[in-house]
Amino acid sequence: MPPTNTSFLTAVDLGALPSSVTQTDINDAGVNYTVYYKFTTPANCVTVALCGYSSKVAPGYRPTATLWIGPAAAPTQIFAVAAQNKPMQMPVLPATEYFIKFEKNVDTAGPETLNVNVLPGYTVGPNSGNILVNDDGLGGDGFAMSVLSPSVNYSHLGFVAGIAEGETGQLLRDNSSSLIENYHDDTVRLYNSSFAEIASISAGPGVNRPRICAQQVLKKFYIADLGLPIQLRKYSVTGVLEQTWASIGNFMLGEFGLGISNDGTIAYYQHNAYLTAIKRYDLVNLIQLADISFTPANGFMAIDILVLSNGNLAAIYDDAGFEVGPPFIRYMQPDGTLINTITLSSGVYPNHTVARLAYAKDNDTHVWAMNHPVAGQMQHTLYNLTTGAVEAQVNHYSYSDGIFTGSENTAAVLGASVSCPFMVMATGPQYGILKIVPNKRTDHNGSLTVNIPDPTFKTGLLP
Amino acid sequence: MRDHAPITLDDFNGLWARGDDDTCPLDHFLEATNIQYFDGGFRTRDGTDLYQTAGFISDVRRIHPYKMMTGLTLLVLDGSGNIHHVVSPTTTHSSILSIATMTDFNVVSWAGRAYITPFYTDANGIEKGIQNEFLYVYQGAGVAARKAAGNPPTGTVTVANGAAGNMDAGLHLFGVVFESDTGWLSQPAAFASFTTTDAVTVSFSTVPVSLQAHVVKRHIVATKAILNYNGDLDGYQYFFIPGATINDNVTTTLNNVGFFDIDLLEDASHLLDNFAEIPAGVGLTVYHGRLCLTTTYSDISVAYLSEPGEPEAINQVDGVLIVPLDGNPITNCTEFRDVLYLFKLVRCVGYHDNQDVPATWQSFVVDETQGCPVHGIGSVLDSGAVNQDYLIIANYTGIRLFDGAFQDPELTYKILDFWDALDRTQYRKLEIINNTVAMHFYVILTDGTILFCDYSQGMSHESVKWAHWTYEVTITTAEIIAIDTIVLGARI
Repeated sequence: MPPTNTSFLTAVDLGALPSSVTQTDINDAGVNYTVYYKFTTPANCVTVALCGYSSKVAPGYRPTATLWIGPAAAPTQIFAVAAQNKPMQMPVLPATEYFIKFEKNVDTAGPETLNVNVLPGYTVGPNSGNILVNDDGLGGDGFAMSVLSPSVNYSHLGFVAGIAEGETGQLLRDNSSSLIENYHDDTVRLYNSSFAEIASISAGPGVNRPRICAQQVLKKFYIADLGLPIQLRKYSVTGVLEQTWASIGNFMLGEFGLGISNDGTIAYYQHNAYLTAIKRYDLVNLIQLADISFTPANGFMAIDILVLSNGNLAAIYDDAGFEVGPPFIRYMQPDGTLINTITLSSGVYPNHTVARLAYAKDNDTHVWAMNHPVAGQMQHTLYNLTTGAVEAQVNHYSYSDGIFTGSENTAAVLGASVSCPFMVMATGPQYGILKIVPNKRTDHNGSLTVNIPDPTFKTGLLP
Repeated sequence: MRDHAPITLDDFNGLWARGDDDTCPLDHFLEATNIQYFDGGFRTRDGTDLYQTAGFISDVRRIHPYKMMTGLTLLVLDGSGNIHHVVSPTTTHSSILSIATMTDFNVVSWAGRAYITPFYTDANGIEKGIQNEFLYVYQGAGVAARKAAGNPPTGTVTVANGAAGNMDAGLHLFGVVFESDTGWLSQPAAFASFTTTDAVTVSFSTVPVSLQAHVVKRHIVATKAILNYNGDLDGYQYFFIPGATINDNVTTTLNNVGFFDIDLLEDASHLLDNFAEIPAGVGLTVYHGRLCLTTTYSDISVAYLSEPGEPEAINQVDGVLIVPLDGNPITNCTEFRDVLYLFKLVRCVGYHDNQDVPATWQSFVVDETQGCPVHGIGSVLDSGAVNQDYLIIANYTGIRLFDGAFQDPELTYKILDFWDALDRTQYRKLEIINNTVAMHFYVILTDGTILFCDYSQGMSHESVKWAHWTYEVTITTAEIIAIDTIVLGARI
């Protein structure tokens, strides 16, 4: 018998999420049917990961999933994302009905099975130490930022919706405010520690994709244009423009690293050309300074440049597109003199994604790096800059433009976008409204669950 | 052990902090931290969790209940001077009022609206209304609060004869009154004199339009016929003309309005001396249907009372109560058993409503040595009101029951030393929340911890059980919501 759920109007309700079902009547008399499912997102759900896979490989039956929003009589597809026989992860609205269309690719002799599962992703408030990965915006406008565990593999903690999607963003440790590029409208968005937007700033007169630097010592944000000349602007933590440099040199800044020295006098940036060292520009005397004393091999660029509190630099180099060697971190003095080199594992580059670097949450003896050594996953590693020791390492699933970057025939998992910057939550938001919960055995301190301070009693009995 | 007589402790009656340690009764504790009591025992106190699940607010300084028509919500002040409306754990209207210098506030709920007064602590440690700030009204939908009351009409209304109809002949004065979306009525203004003709109605033009967006109606007011007019346009008694209302803030004409002088019954002259902008104060309560506001920036011993049923109609002359001046501000106010009590830190006076204007009410001294700080009156459940039998008041002498007089001994009798050790310069931080369902009350202390009281065995100095609760965060305020859920405000 053919399946009955062959239209939006006859879609099978998956019920409460998470949900998993297996449909075995996909095929009838040599014809595979396109089938439909529906679900209603729970409250606080802002993302779903879903999958319909057949357990077959090409040239067999491998359905393609697309997500639609109701009503059933006139549904609208969510973006133009389609995932064939593998998971997709999409932004959704809470308490809203959605439809999934699993479109057949081919008729076969049958029988065929469709394994469907849908996972909800909920809103969370990031806590200190959480890894934050926003989307790059290429899949559409509205993908939420992922909040990942820094210590438990594949532990996706939740999402923060409404965060700018772009290729650059950094966080100030002092108050966990962050500045993130918004690819969709050529702005950069400033957020407070609760990820409420404080300001929207024009990306600048040049080509979009500005570069962002969060200067940790000065507690300022810097924005530099991608194009030529490179305009640099300095902003306060509340988004007030404090200073503008119309040009910081005649070398074009690419989608690569930008750093500002701790006294605000030198800008470090990667010129958009191979076989070039990191450039330096004197922001006081407005002159180009000598490059740092390290020129990478052909193809390698400094993707991120971090200026540490001791004035030293940590830059991560990657040769995406060339894929000759693994990415590496160069820990160096301000003039480029090497202190240590840390080589990451070779990456797998879906869509030419590159390794990225982020400040550790509370110190500058370590940095976090992200790369992609395994298909379908991203890896975050906490390195000791001086020794190169791996202090922590965690893996998470990855999606690109809403489609799982791993192999087919896997169930839906929650993951993060692969081609983006990442940040590590520093102080954590300090939420200020608590409630007393009867019989609860822990407290919440506004950021984390903590123990109740020691209960103590002392009687009047004297020794 | 042989010949050893065991001492059994099967009663645990809370913290003892009075005198030497050896005066502590066996059934009391010299230290009782982070514990709470049940019948025959004690256990670790209840823990806490985040109240909000979205729209999180940080650095909370004060929380007050705001009763909407749809339920109880919260108004929350943060450390940046922003008041947020927390409708539910998932829904927050951010920054409905932002005043950078606001370090505290009070609120009264009225017909689904919130009247908010912002105040601060001056360099001398006195709480008073912020200079050049005002009483605000917020209507609960997330639109920012606006100043209460408003400006009167300007210009002059033009009066002319209309069609045939009801009218007494004679010189009448006419004016215009604005009405807001909250029912506020402005001072009559835009006056004009006109001699009406018997049986000829009047028509109005150039009726002033208000620039204030909250004005939604204009009323025409008139005097009765004046025999010997002295030229004083606002020296006569005005009345609302029945039916002479323009139900918008756009139309400038109203034609063929007819009335007899005998129809003029509803007085409008009481509006003449009302505040156009009600100054910010500290205390805010309701007494006999009147809004009561105390301690403005310039008058720290004055309480203003509105007209009954008109919270934004405060007469600058008739609506004034003056507590005997002593250089100290009014800190708190409340209605209790039909009496309006005004407190200073070490003084309490009462007023009875004599059915005349408040300026004629005579005060009586309740206590010359005891008073109450700005948040020192314990509210009950989530009604925001006081319990029908007593108030719980914290002051320099401890926590006491008040039933018209401060009761002795104080409830904090057993923990006198603990109470005396509190920083008296920080008494503005004291706040009491009374959960009568669980028979617990919570006192937010000057150091950001909580003094917990279990009165399930009775509300007397002997039967209450005290404990001291500490947190990783600094507790700044507390409220009750959803009958018996205690919400805490914290700053890290």
